[in-house]
Order: sequence, then C-alpha cells, then structure tokens
Amino acid sequence: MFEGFAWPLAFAGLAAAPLLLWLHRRARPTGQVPFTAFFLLPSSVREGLAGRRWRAPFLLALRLLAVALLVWQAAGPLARPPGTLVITAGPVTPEPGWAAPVTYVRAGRPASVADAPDTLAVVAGTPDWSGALLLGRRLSPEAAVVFRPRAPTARILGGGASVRGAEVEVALQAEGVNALRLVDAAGVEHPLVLRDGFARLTARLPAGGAVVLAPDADPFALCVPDARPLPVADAGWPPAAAFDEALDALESAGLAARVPVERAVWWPATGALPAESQWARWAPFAPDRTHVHFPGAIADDAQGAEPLLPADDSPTPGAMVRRFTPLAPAASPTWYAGDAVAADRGAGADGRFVRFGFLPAESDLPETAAWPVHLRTLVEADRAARSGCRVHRAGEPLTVTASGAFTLRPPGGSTRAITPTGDTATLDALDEPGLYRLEQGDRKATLAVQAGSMESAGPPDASAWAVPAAPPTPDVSVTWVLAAAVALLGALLAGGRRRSALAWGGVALALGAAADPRVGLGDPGGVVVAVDTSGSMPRAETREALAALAAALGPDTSVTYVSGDDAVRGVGPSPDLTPGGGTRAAPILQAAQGLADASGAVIHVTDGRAPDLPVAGPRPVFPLLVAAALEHGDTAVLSATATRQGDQVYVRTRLVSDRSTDADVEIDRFSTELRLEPGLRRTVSARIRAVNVDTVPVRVQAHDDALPQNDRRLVPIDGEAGARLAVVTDPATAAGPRAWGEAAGFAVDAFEPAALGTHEPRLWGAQALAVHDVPVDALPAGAVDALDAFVRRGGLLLLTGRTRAFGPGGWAGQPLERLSPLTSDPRPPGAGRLGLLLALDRSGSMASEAGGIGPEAVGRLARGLAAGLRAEDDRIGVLAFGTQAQVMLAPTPAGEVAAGALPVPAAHRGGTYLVPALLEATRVLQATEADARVLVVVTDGKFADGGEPMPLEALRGAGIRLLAVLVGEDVEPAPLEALAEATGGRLVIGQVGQVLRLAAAGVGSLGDGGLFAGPGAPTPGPAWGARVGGDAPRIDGRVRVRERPTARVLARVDGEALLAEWQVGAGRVVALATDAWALPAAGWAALLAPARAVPDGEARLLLDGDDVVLVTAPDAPPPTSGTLSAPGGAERPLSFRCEGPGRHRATLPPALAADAPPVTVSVAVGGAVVSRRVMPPLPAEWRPSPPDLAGLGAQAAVAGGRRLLGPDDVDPVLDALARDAGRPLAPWLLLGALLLALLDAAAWAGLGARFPGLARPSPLQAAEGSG
Amino acid sequence: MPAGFPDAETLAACERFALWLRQGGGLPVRGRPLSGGLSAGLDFEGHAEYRPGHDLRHLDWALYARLRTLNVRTFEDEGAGTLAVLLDASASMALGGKFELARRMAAALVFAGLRACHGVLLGVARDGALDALPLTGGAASFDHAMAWLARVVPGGRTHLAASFTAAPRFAARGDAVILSDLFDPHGPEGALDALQRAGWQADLVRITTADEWWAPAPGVGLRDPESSAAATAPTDTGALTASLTAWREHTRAQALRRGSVVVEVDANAGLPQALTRFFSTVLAVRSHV
Repeated sequence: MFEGFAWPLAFAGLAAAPLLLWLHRRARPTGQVPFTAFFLLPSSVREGLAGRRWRAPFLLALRLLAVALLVWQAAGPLARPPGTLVITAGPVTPEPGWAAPVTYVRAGRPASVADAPDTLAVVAGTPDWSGALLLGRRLSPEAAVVFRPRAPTARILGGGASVRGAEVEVALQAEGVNALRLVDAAGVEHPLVLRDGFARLTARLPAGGAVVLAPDADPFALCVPDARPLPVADAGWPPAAAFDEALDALESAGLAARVPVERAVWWPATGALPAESQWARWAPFAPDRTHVHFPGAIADDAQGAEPLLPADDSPTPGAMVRRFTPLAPAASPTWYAGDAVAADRGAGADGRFVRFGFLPAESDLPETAAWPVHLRTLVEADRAARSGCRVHRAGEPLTVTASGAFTLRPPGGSTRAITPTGDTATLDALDEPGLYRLEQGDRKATLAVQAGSMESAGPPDASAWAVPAAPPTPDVSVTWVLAAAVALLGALLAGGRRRSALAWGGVALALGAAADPRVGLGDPGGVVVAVDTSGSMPRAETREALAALAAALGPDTSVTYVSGDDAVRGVGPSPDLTPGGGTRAAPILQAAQGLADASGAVIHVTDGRAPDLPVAGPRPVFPLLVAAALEHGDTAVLSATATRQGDQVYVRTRLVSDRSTDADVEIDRFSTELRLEPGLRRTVSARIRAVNVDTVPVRVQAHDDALPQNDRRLVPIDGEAGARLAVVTDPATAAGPRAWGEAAGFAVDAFEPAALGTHEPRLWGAQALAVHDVPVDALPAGAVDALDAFVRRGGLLLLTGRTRAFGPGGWAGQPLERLSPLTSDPRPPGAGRLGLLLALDRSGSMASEAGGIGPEAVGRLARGLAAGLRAEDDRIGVLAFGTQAQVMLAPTPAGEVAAGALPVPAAHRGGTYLVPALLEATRVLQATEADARVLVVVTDGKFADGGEPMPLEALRGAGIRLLAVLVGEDVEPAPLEALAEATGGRLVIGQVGQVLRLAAAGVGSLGDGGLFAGPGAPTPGPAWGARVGGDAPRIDGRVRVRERPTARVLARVDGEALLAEWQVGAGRVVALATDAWALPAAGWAALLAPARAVPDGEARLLLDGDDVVLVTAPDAPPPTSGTLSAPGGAERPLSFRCEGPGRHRATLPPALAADAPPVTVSVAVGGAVVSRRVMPPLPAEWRPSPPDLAGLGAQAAVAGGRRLLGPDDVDPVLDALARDAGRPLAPWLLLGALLLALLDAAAWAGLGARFPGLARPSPLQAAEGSG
Repeated sequence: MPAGFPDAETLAACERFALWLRQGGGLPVRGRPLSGGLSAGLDFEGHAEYRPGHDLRHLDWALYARLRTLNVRTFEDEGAGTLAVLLDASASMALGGKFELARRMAAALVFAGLRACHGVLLGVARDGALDALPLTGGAASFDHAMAWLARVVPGGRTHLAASFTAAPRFAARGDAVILSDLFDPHGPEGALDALQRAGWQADLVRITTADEWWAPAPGVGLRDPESSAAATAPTDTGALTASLTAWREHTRAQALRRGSVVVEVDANAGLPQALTRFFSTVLAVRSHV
C-alpha cells in the first residue's frame, strides 16, 4: 500500500516539466543553417507563421523522464505496504494468511528483528511483548499484528543438581516429555527416566554446566556442583574443638578433605577483602579459593552477649556470642548478632570469602547443632561455586566483575566480545535458554540460563498502541535513481551536450545519491525520556521534573516519552503518568534505546529503585533522580514475625531507614520510639495480648517519609494451630505440664504412661512430648525405644518432674536415662563411692507359693537396685539370709558385674534370722572400700529373731545405713523400721514395681546427701538469653541431678544443673529437674520453640526473598501444584518449579497495596499438606532502600552518559546527540541533479545566449559592479 | 578580463592607427580635436547625474550637500567633440566572426578617441535596448572600456532604432560610428533618425561575410539565428538573391539620404584592413564635404 512521501515539497520540482516543454519549444533548431537575412525570406516559407513545433521530442521525453524520476525519488516515496508484524517468542512457521511483507520481531530482552522465521531463538522466561510491539510498530506502523506466544506441549519445567556423597544427584521436572538426556560438561550423555513428571539421576558427573535435552522441548541448562571433597586447609584455624570436630565431620562425610594450606580451596586468611562494589556481582574469572576470615583479635569496641540470629529462614540456633566485631559494611549476611552482622560471605575478583566477626571460642554456637549445619552449608555453597557455573534467570541483565576483556558465547549465537567498563560489565540479551560460555584467557565459566517465571503476562492489546513510527527514511531506491541517471545521461548524449559541465554534474549528483541513499545531513538526534511510573514514584515531583526538563531541552529538541513500570505502558509526545506497579528499568530503557535510533540520547527519570540496573544499550543514558527520592528518606518495616503462645503473641520486627531519623514504632497497641541509622537494621520485639486475631499490624513512622507504602505490614501470627504437645504423666500430675504447654502456645493432650506402648497417633504425631514424673517402672515395654525414635526424627522431648522422675523415678541406669542430658545420680564422678550390699531374704515366706514375691521378683529387684550404681566407683555385694547368712557375691566393682549375672537365691525355704545376717553384712561392708555403705535388706519382715536385740551399734560403727525394702502382702515393718531410722536409712514398703523405684531412689539418696533439694534461685547459663530469655524465677524445689559432659546447661541452682538440653539425632531433649517452676509463658515458648521447627527430612516451606521454597527430603515424592489463598477465600494456583533434589521454588506475587493481608501457601507433598502463612512480598520499588546511586552511576557508565544533577542539567544530553545521521542527503542530491539538468536544458535551448542575465551578468551591471 | 580580448594585435593596431590619425589630421569628429590638454573656454551647460566614467573633477559637491545625490557639472565645449562607438551585439553578429571584428574595431576607435581627448561613448545595442558606457580620457578609461567589451556576448534580436531611441540623451553631441551587419528588419533609417534627433551624426560600418549576400541552396534547412524560427530555403534563389541585393542598396540609400557614410567591411578581413578602409572612406567623404 502506498503510504505517502517523506518530503512532498520535492514535487515542486515537477515545475521543471513545463519549463522543459517551454525550452524545447523555444530552443534553436539544430541541424539547420543559420541565415542572417531570415526576415527577407518570403513569408510563405517561414515556419514561424505556421506555428512552432517541439524541438527534439525524443530528447524532451528523456528529460521529462529524468525529471519525473528525480522528483519522485527526491520526494521520498514511503511505499511501505502494511504487511504483517509477527511478534513471537520463538521459531515460527509462516502462515499463508500473513500478508507480505512479514516482519518478524523476537520478544526477547531486548526485542530484536529477525530475517528468517526459523532462525528465531527461543525466548526463555517472560517475553517482552511491549518492547517487541514497540519495535515492530516503528518498523511497520500499519501492519497487522500477530502474536505468537509459545505454549510448548513438552517442556522441562525445572531442575537442579546437588552433591550426594561422591556423586551428584540431578532432579528434573518436565511435562509432555517421555525421555530426557543430560549432556554433561564433558559431552557425555546420560539418559533419564521420567516418572510422574520427575526424573532423578545419581552419577559421577563432571562439574560445570550441563544441559538437559528432550524432543520438542527447549533445552534446560543447569550447573553441576563439584562432588569432590572441598580441599580445606589443615592448619591455621582458630583453636576450637568444635571447629575441628565439625571439619572432621565434613571430612568423614566426604564433603571436605584436609590438605596443606597451599593446596587448599578453603583456607584461613586475613588478607584484604575485595571492594564493596564487587560483592553483589558475579566474578566468573575469580580464583578458585575461599578466604575464611576470623578476627585476629577482638577489637576494644567489640560488642557482646547477643543472641545469634540467622539471616535466612532457617531456625534460630539458640546460641549466644559473647564478643564479636560487627561486620560493617557487610556482604551477604549469614548471622546476625542482635542487629549487627556477625558473619557474612561474598565474592570478588580475588575469589570468594567467608567472614566471621567472632572466634568460635567466643560463642556457644559451636556447641549447637547449627554450627556443623552452618559449616556444611558454607562448604556446600563453595562446592557448587567451585564448578565455575552460575544459574541465571533468563531475560535479566547480569553485571559481572572482570579485570579485562572476555568473550561470551551464547548457546546458538556467535561469540561476543565484552570489554568491561572499569572492572564491571553488564551482560544483556541473556534470554535464550541454554549454556553461555565465558572465556578470559585460560579461565572459563559457564552461565546456565534457565527460563524465568512460569507465569508470563500475555501480549498487550496491540490496537491500543499508538506508537510513533520511526522517522521517515524513504526508500530511495537505487534502481530508480540509476534509471534517472541513465535518462540524464541519454539526454546528455542525445542533446549533443558531451562537453556540458552542467549535464555531467547532474549525472554525478544522481549517481552520488544512488551510491549511498542513507548518507545524512547530520541532523541532531532526538531525546527520549524514559519515565518510571511505578508505584514508588512521587507524582507531583515527577511532573515538576518533567516540566523543567522539557523547558530546559527547549522547543527545538525532539522529545519522545516512554512511560512504564515493569513493562512499557505508553509511548508518545507527552508522558503517561498513570500510576503503575513494580519497577524494572529494562523494559522502558530498552524501548527508549530503540526510539533513540542512532543519534539520540535517553534521559531516565526515576527514583532509583529499579533492581535490574544497569541495562546495556547503544545510546547514552542520563539518569535523572527525582528530587523527592533524595530529599526525603524512607523508613520501612523490613520484616516481621509473630508467634502465638496462648493468648500472648510475640512479635519481632526489623526496621530499616536510609537516613538517621527518629521513628515511632507501633506493634498493635504497643508503641515505642527509637533512633534508626542508615544501613543498620533495628529489631524491636514486643509481647502483646491478642485473642481471636490472626494478624498483627506493625507500623513505623518517621517525619517526611518518602514512601509510606512500606511503613505498615500485617504480620501473620504463627503457631495458631498445628503445634501440639503430648504430656505423658499420671492424670493427677498433668496440670503442671499442661499449663506450660498452653502458655507456650501448644495444643496439649495428656496421656497416661501406658500410652507410650501404643501407636496413638496424637501422641506420636505431636511436635513435642513431655514425660513428666513418670517412674521407670511405669513405662511399658518398648516405650524408651519409641521415645528415642521420636527424638531422632526431629521431635522435642521434655523430661521433667521431681518426686517420680530422675532418681526418685528410678531412671538411674535405665534406658530412659540415656536420652536425658541430666543423669539421675547427682554424685559427681570420683566422689561418694558407694558400697552396697543386698541382703536378700531367702526364707520360705518369700516364696511365691507362700504369698511372697518369689525369687524372680527378688532378682529383678536386685538388678534394678544395682543398675543405679556407678560402674567405675561403686561396689556391690549379695548376701542371702534365712536360717543362715551366706555371702553370694563379695563386694565387687559394679562395672564388673553384669546386671543379668547378679546372683540371687533361687529357692526360698526355712525360717528367717535377721541378727546373723546383719552381723555378717556389717563384717562384709566394713571390709569394703567405700565412702558410704548401704545395706539393703529385701524381706517380708517376718523374722524368727525379731524380738531379740538388734546389732544397732555395730551398724552405726561401720557407718552403714540400712535401707529396708519390705515386699509382699503381709509385711511387718518392725524391727527394720527402727533400725533404718536409727542408721539414717529408710524403710520402703510396697509392691515390687513401686519398691524397686523407691528403693533405687533410696540408694541414691543414701549415697550422698539426698536426692531432693529445696527452693532456690536459678542462675542462667550462657545460652539462657538465646534459648529462653528473660528472668529466671525461683523454684520451690527440685530433684538433684547432674549434667552430662556434652549437655548444654541453661540454668543451675546452687551450682547444680536444673535445666539442660542436647541434640539427639535430628531432635532435641530438654531435661528439667523440677515440677515447681513459675517460668513465664515467653520462657516456656522459647524453651519449646525448637519443637515448632520442622525437622530435617520433612517438607517445609521457607521464604527466600520473593520466593517460597519447598524443601523436602531429596528422595521425597515431588509436590503437586501449590495454592495461594487470600483471606477472602480467593485462591490461585502457585506453580512450584524443581530446582534440585528436594527443592522446589515458587515466586509469590507482590502486594501492590499497603496493609496487604497475609496469604497462605499450601502444597501437597506425599499425601500431606504443607502450609504456611506469609506476608506477600513488597514490590521491588517499595523495598526499603535508598536510591541506588551506584546502580544509576553504573547505568550511566555502561551506556555512556552521566547522572544528571537536575532537570536543568541537560547540556550533556544535548552534547551527546549525535549528528551522524539525520535527514538523508539523497533527496538534496537528486534535487541538485534536477536543477543542473534544467540548466543544461536551458543552455541547450540557447536560453543563456538569449537571456545573458541567466548565465552571465549584463555588461552594464558588470560595469557598475566594478565601478 | 577574459583572455583573448583585447589581444596584442588589437592593441598594436590601436597605437598604430591613433598615430596615423594624428599624422593625418585626426578623427573626423566635429569640433576639431585639440592636441592634448584640457580645452579652454568652457561654458557651463547644466548638471547631469553622475555615472561611472564621468570626470570626478566635475562633481558638484555643493549640490551633493543639498540633494545627497552625485551630479556633475556639464559644459558646452565648442572645441572638443564626443565620439560614440555603437556596437550591434545581436545574435546575428555572432556568426562568421562579425562580432569579433566589430569589437576590435570598437577598441581601436575608443583608443583613438580617448587619445585625441574626445569624450567617448561606448554602447552595445540588442533586443531594442542600449547599454552605454561614457568614457573620458586616460589609460584607465581605456582599460575599463576593454574589460567591459570583453564581457559582451552577442545574443538577442536586432532593433537598432528601438535601441537608440531608448538610449538616454547624452550631454555631449558629436559623431557616432555604428558597427553592425545591418540585418535589421526595421532598416537603418529609424536608428539614424533617432541619433540625429539626439544630436549625433552617425556613420555606418557594415560588417558582413560574402556568404550572407548569396541565397542558400534550395531545400536547405534555415533557421533564424535571432529567433527559433526555421524555414527551408526557397527554390527561387534568384529572387532571394535579388532581395538581398535590394536590401543592401536600400540600406545604403537610406544612410546616404541622411548624410551618413556606409563603409562595407568583410568580416573575414583583418583588423588593419578594416580600419584602413573605414578611416580612408570616412576621411575622404568628410574632406569632400
């Protein structure tokens, strides 16, 4: 379709046509003899009387043709048929219905034009439909637009690799695919079998980039970590046993290997860190080393006594750091100590680094399970980084640190040479899936570009776009210009004008126009103003800035506005300031670069909050920060958590500000004022009473806040449901632990001890289990094994009580005691050696047929009593008495006597004589080397010599305490009761089970000072603040216990352990030696908090920036699609994408309004549903961060501009407008050729001679001029 | 100044014929020439608008102060006459070297006039108009005149009567020499009459080629060099030749009737021959008279 002309004024040249006609009419006839006396000819022969005729009609036709062609081409015909504009995200097959010409635009980032439809590379991630439409509209303004989004039926949705032992495990998720094959870094193919859309491969794979291929699916790139053990320096580490133990554990697990320092990848270093500007960037050619920094000496201004907090979503380690040096500035924090960064990690051009602000010995972190986990995480991260491969999201620019030029080779493209500006370079056009190879000399790196979001926005409404067409660049057809030149040449020859400089000049100009129709007159380019219209932009200030900018640029400068937020929203001669959503600089800057053509410049009006700066481009970009972004600071709620504990909600929020300011903080009804400093995060905690609510409002207010949208968040309250505590105790004693659990926010179920022998799901399904005042004889068979399994798989076991727990409960030496960090025997090793002699009644009345307990029960009782002894110190002997006293086992070290081998009388017969037995026992015990001597008499009390005097003085003289254990149905306490009382012993009467427990307790108490202690004031241990916090109230009484060497004691009373814990498997056991402690609810909540942490191996949802990550066991079944539920009931699917074994990621949509309520993320894994309520992430431009001046500076540096100081500072922009293009010169050359052709025709016609004024000045004028 | 004019031969001829004229009694210009120096007994005649070539000594500064226009005082000089050299520069003169000869003769006449201290008026006539250059004595005036002449390109139609009628009246009167082929459809009589009315006594130098007086062969394509008109030569060449002859005689008769001399010069003749013929004829006629 004929569109028009670029310069219609050129048609004025058609006036040459009648001029030519006139010239040919007036021209001298040629080929005729001049005849001076023409007027004397007879009038009959003079032609003039019969009318004139056209001279040289062929020549006239040639000249007219040349004029027509020259004028036509000079007018710039815009004969662009509308055709079809195909905007696609990948290769397309042309369709018959597409009107020619077809323009193919690839909706990549940036958009690009393709010549052949089958050469279009796949666009991974979200296509930039807006940018592609903008580009296409400019090329073909009238074309019919056809969008071709890709919806492949077969695709690889996600995947990743992680190290498993010496091998690498790869997990992949795909749909519509039957077979996959992985091509590793060495080019070896590995087939993968899909099952339910997932595939796994465990093999020895070379480290580096790998690509997964499937028929009809786009390739999927991933990074394979280095499975070889990480070489860790074998010396130079700070002295800490826990550190060495952790490294030993890593070495034994095959994750690390101790090597000499010079060969180590992980090595202790105190060298300088890389420049701060490099921390956030990838250094692909950095040396393969990790510098691990520990402070050489703690500075004088070191801070201390702060709880350690993880920077990510992992559980709080419950550790304190006693002294540390805050790391400021910090790279990527890993641990916080209070509000300061205590550990971080990063990378620079010299390699990676890990920094600790404290020595291991200055913290109890190494004593926790978090320490080896942390070291393992660091080592694993470096094993992955060591592969020289990085996963990158398609479509996003990547800024790298490199010291010199390097090359980038895309998957299917040609190698690009990259020259860094300074030490950074921005890689763009990373929108094709696959492996990108980077090379700098001998060093190589790989970029595995994976598809971005699975949910891409659809193409825009093309009809709503009024995109300005590109400046008219008429098709100055070489063919037609050459035809005009040939016509001129023909006219020149036919007119006998071989010596005419005019004619040859005309031909030369025409040929010049044909030689390079694009040569321009050097018009300056236009200015394209890219206006950020995201939600964070201050509207009034933006309008003011744009008005001032337009005034400064002046009316002579061509200005086009591109408006948008995370996509281009408007293009035109005036800005469209419709408020938008999130910020991404790339769409509007890339569109502006396209509009700027080859000679324009771009002004980026922004508030500096775009996260994707810099954006590469050919034309200079001049960032202009709106004034409000600099003048007004921003105070924001960075994060917040709320945990319900009964009717109490514990809220912890982190606040941040980009300037020094006083701020008011409101957490529900609690409010306070505090000082915020830039770059420091302040943590504010509060406990509020909240019932029947599931969110807590948190708000921070500061004067003149630039961005109030991020000042208020609604925090979901965790622990509202789900966390349960099972209390196992006698119903009479259940009230205490029930109150503790409910105060901590747990749902409490009480069970009798017998339930431990069942498969009660509510018991074993609880997150925490409290065994309270349960004597060991009340435990059913297999209960301890079940408890052990419960803890090892991640449960929290609380062992507590006083009168029937620990020693009084008969736990000493029992399997249950092995789970406890507190032993039931309060005696410290090497002190209070006990000599125990069991005097067992073997009379007939003890026989079971006579109503006694029988030899078997006696044996069990004896073994139970012996189990409470310390193997290395105590002695035990057995004496059987009836008619006679007989030593069955002389006092022997307890450790040498197996419990099952303890001799007991097998048969009971005859009468019972007590006095000989006591005398014999006195003799035996006197000869025993012990600090305390205890005689345990197990009998039914029916003695033949009960009326005779007892050898009390002999017993006293030998320092023997008598513990009388009366068993049976008809016992007679006297005379043993008097003896026990007189020797400081005890009398125990009851059934076998009770007796056993009571007797055991009696043994312990008789050994050293008693098992029970009175009221006291607990003394918090070093970890109290991190683990429990707050004050430790007094106790009313306790049972005396002793801590195990590897247990962490949280509180002591009178130097003896009261509260301690330790790690067992994936779980934790907390032991509390009292039942009378008024610990505040917050304390109970903190103490039981580890129960809320999901144990390793179980599916859980973590927050990672704007993403939620589902972590499962590596071999767990893959999740089904997730759901995102809003409070109002609205649901939307949430796609989880596999990113490696046991890891699946989904991106949360940002909240576009302040006070956005929490949403619930749910995903089904293996038949169970994992849910978590989360705050929707803030849009990027609402992030509490100051304007990214460094990013804006990098943008200016990368694109060749500079940051403008204000709207008036436009001189650099105007200076940058190139003059190398502009209006084409060809039309002027053509018009010049036309003029010369006309002059030649006039000369041919003799007009110069007839009108000398045309060719030469008149003689008179010349004379006057000279005079 | 374009190369080629005035050439060395022309300049030499100027000197030679100026000397020859002085030895022979001078130019046949009314009011006998003086032998150098300024003429005496000047009578104030009036004012004329200053034009390049006027003697600056005659500028009336008092009048300039009053009117702010430059005027020169003019004097009636009975002793010195003015020579007008009028050149036909129509297109027909471009043929056969006629214009070149006419221009070289004009140069010689101007030189002689200036050397004899006459006022000289140099004029170019075509298309019914006259471009005139008044000159006074001095070498600079001659050089100026030669440069002016060198730029003249023949073209246009011949209409001498209109040219001289349209010419401005000159203050000085004297003799005029018309250098032309006299192929003027309007005849020379109108031109001579106009000059006489302006106070000029004109002589005619007809510069033609011999071919011009013969009728072309029948059937030959003919064109009018002064217009785009074309024709085919008539078959009756005798009649055309007769017409040419009649025209030649007619012009001569009209000139003689008005007291003018017609000197016939062949364009192919050399400059000395042409000048010799002109001066000998004119001086003979003047002496006879």
